[in-house]
Amino acid sequence: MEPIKIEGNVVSAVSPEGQTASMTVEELLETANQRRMESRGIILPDGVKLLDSKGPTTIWVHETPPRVYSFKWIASGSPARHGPGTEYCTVRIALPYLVVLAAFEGDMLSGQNECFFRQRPLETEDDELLYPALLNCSKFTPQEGRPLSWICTAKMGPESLGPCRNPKQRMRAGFKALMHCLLETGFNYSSEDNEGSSWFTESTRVDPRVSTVESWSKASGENALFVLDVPWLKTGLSLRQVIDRMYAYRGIGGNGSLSASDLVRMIFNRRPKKPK
Amino acid sequence: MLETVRPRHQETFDPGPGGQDDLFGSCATGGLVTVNHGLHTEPLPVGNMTVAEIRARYADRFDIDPQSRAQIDGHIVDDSTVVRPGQILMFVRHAGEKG
Repeated sequence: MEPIKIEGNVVSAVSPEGQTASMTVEELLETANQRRMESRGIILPDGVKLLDSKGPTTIWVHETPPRVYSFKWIASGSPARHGPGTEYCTVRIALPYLVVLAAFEGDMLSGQNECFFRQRPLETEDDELLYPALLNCSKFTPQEGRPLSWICTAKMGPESLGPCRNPKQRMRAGFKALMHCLLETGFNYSSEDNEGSSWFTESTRVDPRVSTVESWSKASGENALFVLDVPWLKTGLSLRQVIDRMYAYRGIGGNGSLSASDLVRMIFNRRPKKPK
Repeated sequence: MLETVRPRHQETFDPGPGGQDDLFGSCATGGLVTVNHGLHTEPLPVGNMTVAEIRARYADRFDIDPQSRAQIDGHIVDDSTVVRPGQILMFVRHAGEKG
């Protein structure tokens, strides 16, 4: 190992040829903490457009192009609004670009994942996200400190991830379970009853073609691409701002990188290894 | 002098090796179908095959749930349906509910 010395706030190293170079601890940390592009050996699912990490949290940003879906949707006249007794029917509706932000704690999917619409594919972090007019994409009131458009995963237990001992497969399994939950389980009024509202209910006035699921289905049959012209509700926030907001309500402050004081704390908190 | 007319079909564009259009150009099954199951989405040269044939052929590669139902462009179809080039075939398993 090459000799490295820290004296005061200066880190210095000596090369095998005897040359010395030095920098401040802050400069060293800034260099070491630079954002790097890598997936940590994980083969990313199709459609993942961006990875973003801060502290222990990693967010995958996934985009699905516009398409027509066949959803399991609460039937009009269902005796229950959600849970036991709820009756469902199949509806065929078109969606615009569907953007899912999946938050992982280490390699485990968290319970705080969000969903949005867009009328164009994502190209930069500055692109604005739109609220998704979907049941079970919850609107909290107040929104401060909570997700903007929470994907209801209350019934998604750890068993839904399946047997997955490989940490690299665990993230894929978590994401697969999230997308199954979002797109293939029944849509109902649990957000209205538990969180306050869903973005489907909030969006019924944006355009008569999406005011009810029946009119949405009819319009989808006539021209599935009409969803790219609907004035979906604006979040007023860019993808970057929504990601930073997710870190904030998850309690991850700062820029997530090591500081000089973090180094000092790590040195003082280090416990000597027990002799073997 | 006798002249012969070159048949038109010989003049149609035939992209050579390396051209992106040629990736599946020689495939006898025809055009591409977008096949989706869960995290997997791929344009595949399976035009004019039945849903059952595509399900069997890509069961492992796409991790297709045997319980899933096929949808073409959002319509639920049975496994004997022939999938046409340009269509989107999705395998979906409706199960459970949110909340």
